Amino acid sequence: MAINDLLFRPAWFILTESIFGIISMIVTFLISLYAYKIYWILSNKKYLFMAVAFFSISLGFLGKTISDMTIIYYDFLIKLLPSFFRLAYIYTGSLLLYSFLVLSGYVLLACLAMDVKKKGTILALCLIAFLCSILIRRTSSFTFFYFSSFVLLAVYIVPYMYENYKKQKTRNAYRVYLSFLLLAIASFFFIGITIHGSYLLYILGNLLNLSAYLLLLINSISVSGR
Amino acid sequence: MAERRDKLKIVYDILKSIQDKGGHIKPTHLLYKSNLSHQKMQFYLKDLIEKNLVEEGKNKIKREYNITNKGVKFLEDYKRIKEFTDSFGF
Repeated sequence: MAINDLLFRPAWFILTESIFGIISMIVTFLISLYAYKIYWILSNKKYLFMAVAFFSISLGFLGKTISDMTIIYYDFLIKLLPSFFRLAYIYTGSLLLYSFLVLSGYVLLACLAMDVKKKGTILALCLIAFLCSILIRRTSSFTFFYFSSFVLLAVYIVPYMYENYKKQKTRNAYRVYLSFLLLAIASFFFIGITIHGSYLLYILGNLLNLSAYLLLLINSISVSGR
Repeated sequence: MAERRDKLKIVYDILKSIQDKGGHIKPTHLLYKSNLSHQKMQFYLKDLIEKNLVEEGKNKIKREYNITNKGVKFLEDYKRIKEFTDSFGF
């Protein structure tokens, strides 16, 4: 591998992870489309925010897939591109875009959960997401990204989804709550990598992430696919 | 105390009222059936016409509103949309 991978993962797992990323990208894009359709009908800005949040996450996964592809198809791509540096820029740039867009998506979902209406507050939180992405480049570590994701999920989004489940008492609300809980646990596992450098934690975290997005897909199919 | 209707339910009630009357309804009947103030009803109707879910009838003697094919499709989709919005709780 000629590119210095910023993620702590085994080389054999990159292809599998990129498939996970593509699945997550499709699921979040479908949710985004459905949320936008509801916004179009109701003109309720909450659904526009929800559509933008999931679209941002979906675009983030596209960035992640591009960065994975630069590693997987390095030998092929290096012949196409004039110099190594350009390929390295594509890898780093798309990975930073991934972290910024996924964090921004979580920020928007957390703002929806907290009913934050002030644009200034949302913008400030998105700037913190941007700062976390910059820090990845500076420190060559995803710790800030994982920690911010965990805080947004565990402190704001998961409790909100749990309250919604208690209120609705439906299987669909339970699936959504469970999927965000899995995402929070996955982030916790990823934080663990920085303390206990283990490939197993990274793989488990990714499996939990995939399970979470598959649960969201099952929920979307059960409510919109009939 | 009656539960406050959300926008999704109000839109559903307006479109269902039109459909139940054979696809077209007079404004006075709609006002009664949708249980809204005149001002609110006008606000929602304007929005629904813009979104092509409802159209104004072409009869110049008596004013009426018709449900469009898109409006009928919305009524079919209502349960799914409600389940989706409830599952996220936003």
